[in-house]
Order: sequence, then C-alpha cells, then structure tokens
Amino acid sequence: MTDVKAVSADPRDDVVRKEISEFIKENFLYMRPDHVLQPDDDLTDFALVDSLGFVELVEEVQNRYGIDVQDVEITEQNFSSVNAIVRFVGSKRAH
Amino acid sequence: MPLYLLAQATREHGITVIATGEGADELFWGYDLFKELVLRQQAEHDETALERLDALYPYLSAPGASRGPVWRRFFAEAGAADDPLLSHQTRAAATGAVKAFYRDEVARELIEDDSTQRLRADLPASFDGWGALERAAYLEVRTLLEPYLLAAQGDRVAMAHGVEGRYPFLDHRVFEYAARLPQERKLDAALHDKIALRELAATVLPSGIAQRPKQPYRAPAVAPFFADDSPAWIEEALAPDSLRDSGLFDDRSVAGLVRRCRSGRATGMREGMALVGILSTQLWHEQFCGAARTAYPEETAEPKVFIDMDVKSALEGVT
Repeated sequence: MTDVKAVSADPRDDVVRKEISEFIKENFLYMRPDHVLQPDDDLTDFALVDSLGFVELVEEVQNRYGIDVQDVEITEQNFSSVNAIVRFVGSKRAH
Repeated sequence: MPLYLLAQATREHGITVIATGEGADELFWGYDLFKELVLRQQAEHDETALERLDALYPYLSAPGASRGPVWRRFFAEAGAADDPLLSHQTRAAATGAVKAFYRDEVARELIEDDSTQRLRADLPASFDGWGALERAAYLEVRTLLEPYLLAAQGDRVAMAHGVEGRYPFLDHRVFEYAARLPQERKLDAALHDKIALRELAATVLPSGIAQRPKQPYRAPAVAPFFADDSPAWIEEALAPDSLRDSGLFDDRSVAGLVRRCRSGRATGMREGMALVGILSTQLWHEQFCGAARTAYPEETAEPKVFIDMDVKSALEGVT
C-alpha cells in the first residue's frame, strides 16, 4: 500500500481507490470470502468479474465519477485492476 | 408465472382447449436474439450497427444492462464470428453468472465436462453449411423450446388449470414450410421480424395486432423471493445446510448473495441470474436427489415405491 500511495500525487486518487475497492468488495468479493483484494489484483484472474460483471463495473465508474467512457477506452489497461481504474479516472479528470 | 396466470384466466372463462403460438418466434425469427445476431454480424464491417443494440432491449433497465459502449462490447465480444454457437454465447455469458458460486471442486469438474462441448458434438453434420440465423433458430429450438418452454411454460402451467394447449406452429407441415422460407421472408436487414407471418396475420387481424412488436413475458428475479410474505422454503433451500446437502454451491458465497438479495442490494442482471440458477438447482436437487426436507402430509401418507433392480435373484426365487 505504501508504494501505491507514494506514486499517488493527487489525494483524490486515494479516495477513488477506496471507493472502487469498496464497490468490488461489496458487489463481487463476497463470492470469494477468503480473498483479500489488493489494488493490483487482476480482476478477471480469479473469475471474480465476468463479462456481465465487467459491464457493471464500467457502469459504476461512469456514474460515480461522471465520466463518459468511450468505446476505445474500455480496455484491459484501464479496467483490469483497482489501480488501473484509479489511473484511468485520474487521467479523465485531468482532461 | 405469466402463462400460469394466463391459463388460470382462460379456465375462468370456461375455455379448456386453446391454440397457442409456441414455435412462431423460433420458426419465423421473432425473438430479439435473432435481431441481436443480425446487428452483431453487421458490426463486423460496420461498427455503428452495434449502436442499434441500445434500442433492442428497452425493457432491460437493471444495473449491468446499460446502454452505450460497454454494453455493446458485451455483445461484440461474446464468441468468435465463426463459432457455431455464436448466437447463444451472450445468453451463456449472462446465465453463466451462477458459475461464480460453484464449489471449487464442482467448478473444476465442469470445466472438464462442459455442456457447450456436448452441444457442439451433437450438432447436425450439415450445421456448418447453414446460415447464422438458421443455426441460431436450430439452437433456440434445441436448447430452449424443446427441453424447457414446451413443458415448463406450456403444458405444465396450462394443465395446472386443466387447459389443453395445441400448437399449430409445431405441425410438421408449418415447421417445414417455415424452415424453407428465404431469410428475407422472416427477418430483414432493417430488423422487421416474422415478415411472412405478419403479412398473413394482416389479412385477418387489425394492424395493431398484426404489427405489434414482441413483448417478452418478464418477471422480477429477486424481489418476489425475499418479500416479507415469501414462503419459508425459499430461504430453506438457500440455507448453508441445504447447500452442503446438494454439494454444488459454496455456502459462504451464496450466503453473501442471499444477504444482498434480502437487503435489496442485488438489483443487477448478473446476481438475479445467479440467484434464479442457484435456487432452481437447489429445488431440483431436493426434489429428485435429496432426502425430502419438507414432509408434505400427502407424501407421508403414500407408500414407498421402489424399483427392484435385482431381477435375476427374484426369478431364481420363483424357480
């Protein structure tokens, strides 16, 4: 966690990280009660977020942060982990 | 449920035999699934076709059924273009939400014994030569109409009220006629559906009926099972000891889902699909495989019936 914090220049990133982690825990992680979510965990790795779940996740990011996610932005790079989402939300805010 | 209530209303009007339309949407390509496939195919050379998916399911509003890019991508990425099961991969993805609740052992076993592989192996030899929509229609008949709809939504709910359904579209002559019709007489590129059938209907019915868009029967997946007055057997079937009895689902994962359902937080399509899958499997298991948890009075009064498998020794006893 300390490494992650060190690279977070914008304090809002920590809020996004916390909120997205909470959303994933609440909506998906109850299915894997023994798994402790790390911000760099690949969300598709342990069959946690399937294709329909992925739709929910992107929807949440759009709605919560008022972001208009374009087709070309729905990539593994942008949504594969909590930290990826944090970076994506941060980059959309910068524009 | 909707057809159960419809059959009840039919009976209340003193009608005991009805002609019913099962098969019409499979034979004349009326279901949205076929339109979805047309758009997915058009999208291969025209990406804007996927935008029309946004208007295809106006009745879906749950989380996970958003409009826009991520929703379109769900359809675009469900199955390769040359996959024989392409048309039904979206349904497999949606109903597959239940898989996240399997016990690890079960999940591992089902990876090796994949039902879609059995379906692939069982396809007719000429299947590869058929058009994509013809394949979709075949799969719809084989995977839904025949093993599920005709019994569960047809005969069983009608007969529950003593109503006999007759199925003119399943007459082999109608079936063969429809199968031979060219594609554009069923569904065209502008997504007009059941074209030949609607033309015929227009000669005898008001256009409001002959041209009416299809309205699927829909029922909420979660709320009715967790209302204050919901029957006790629902939570019993989902209780940890029931889950351990059947041995299919992880009891802690399901407990999490039940908590979310009970508190009204499981509002999305994914969890609704999972709940219905788990609950019906549990009830099925209890009915056919398990020790009956609920002893109904009429059942306890019935004699135990069993099949004597040891035929040989029984014969030896006679001689």
